[in-house]
Amino acid sequence: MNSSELLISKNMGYVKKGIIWGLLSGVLCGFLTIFEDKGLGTEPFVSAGALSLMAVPIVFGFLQDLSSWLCVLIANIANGKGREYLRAVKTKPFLLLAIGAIVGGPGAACFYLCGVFFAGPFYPVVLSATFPAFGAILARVVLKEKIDLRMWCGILLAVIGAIVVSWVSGGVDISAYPHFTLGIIFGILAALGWAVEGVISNAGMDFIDPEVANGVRYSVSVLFYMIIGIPFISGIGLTGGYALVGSSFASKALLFAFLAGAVEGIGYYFYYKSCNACGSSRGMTLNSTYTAWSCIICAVFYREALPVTFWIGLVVIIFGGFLIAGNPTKIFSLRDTD
Amino acid sequence: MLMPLRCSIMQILIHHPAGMTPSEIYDQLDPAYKKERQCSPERLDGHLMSMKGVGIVEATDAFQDDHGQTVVRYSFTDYGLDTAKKYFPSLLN
Repeated sequence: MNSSELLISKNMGYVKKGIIWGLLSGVLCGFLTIFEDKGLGTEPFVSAGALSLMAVPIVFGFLQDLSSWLCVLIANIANGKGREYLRAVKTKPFLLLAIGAIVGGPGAACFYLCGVFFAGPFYPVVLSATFPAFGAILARVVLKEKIDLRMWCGILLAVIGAIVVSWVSGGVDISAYPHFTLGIIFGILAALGWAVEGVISNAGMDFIDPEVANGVRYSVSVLFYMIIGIPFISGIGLTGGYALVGSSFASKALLFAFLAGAVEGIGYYFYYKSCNACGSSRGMTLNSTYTAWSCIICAVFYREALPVTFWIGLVVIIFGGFLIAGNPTKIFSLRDTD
Repeated sequence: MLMPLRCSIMQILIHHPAGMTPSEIYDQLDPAYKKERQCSPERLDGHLMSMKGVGIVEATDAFQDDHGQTVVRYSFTDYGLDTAKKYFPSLLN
């Protein structure tokens, strides 16, 4: 083989790895919703819902991110990257990762949890699947990622699919969710937050290893929850917030929060690697296949019959997602660098 | 304190405009990052591949070594220099 053939072969192998990492992140994150829903439906979180609007999402989000942080830290130490955390803090790209962490961690994750809390697990999952569409637009503007006609068609399909799914809500008993519309709005806000996170973090990952960046993300997120989220945003104050954390330690809810955190942490570990290997817009889209896994897992677990429109919308979203992912042979160079 | 490994890779490449292979970069980094499992020619190649994907470095040559493995020579791009100037100007020193 000559030089260019060797390069093509090597590039193909790397891009394929990125796509596999992205899909793997989707599968892992697919288990997230079921653990979140079970955790939120367990004491002390059921009773704590009456305390304030944000108490449950903030405290549960903190426990979940704490578990993710621990899983990612163990993986990074095992790979000899423990010292990189402190090295990264002293760099300017750390700021990008920190902003991404706050927007995507306490920000989007809380919106998502609020969505699950107010509208049940199904619709926020599917709405949040539109985040690659927002992400692709941001990646084009901020990172100058190449987006061709095929990708724009995929973006459009992903959004249409999400609208189809959320428009017809007859299959799930929404009377059980008196604040259903609020839950849908939170689902959309979560999608926006994750899109912003994906793009900002990817800019930071030009300089910092994606696996370390993921660890930094959870470190910042956990600190934000501890210093700002629980005392000031939870609505139940420092004492009330940490009392709720303490009471969750004596309940089964902690197990669900930690399981959710573990699948999220490892899923994000692969998601960040994927974004860095095959571009943030593709990484986001591949990660967003978690909607399909989530819905299937939830439907099987709850034995709920979902309306046909739900599945049609889901198929359209996934088809759009794969159009966004594009042809691996054409994604060796991800950005317009001229 | 040392910089993050990826930043150190960039700094070395910026100062070697003719390009380097992962093994050559490893030889320069090893004294500073010795005993860190993350610093090996294979893992440095992973960093360089993702930097190539986003346009920070480019492949200037590729050949097979004695073991039949593909070895790529990478060099820093103008886009990479602009990005470094914007986010991490001390890399240029």
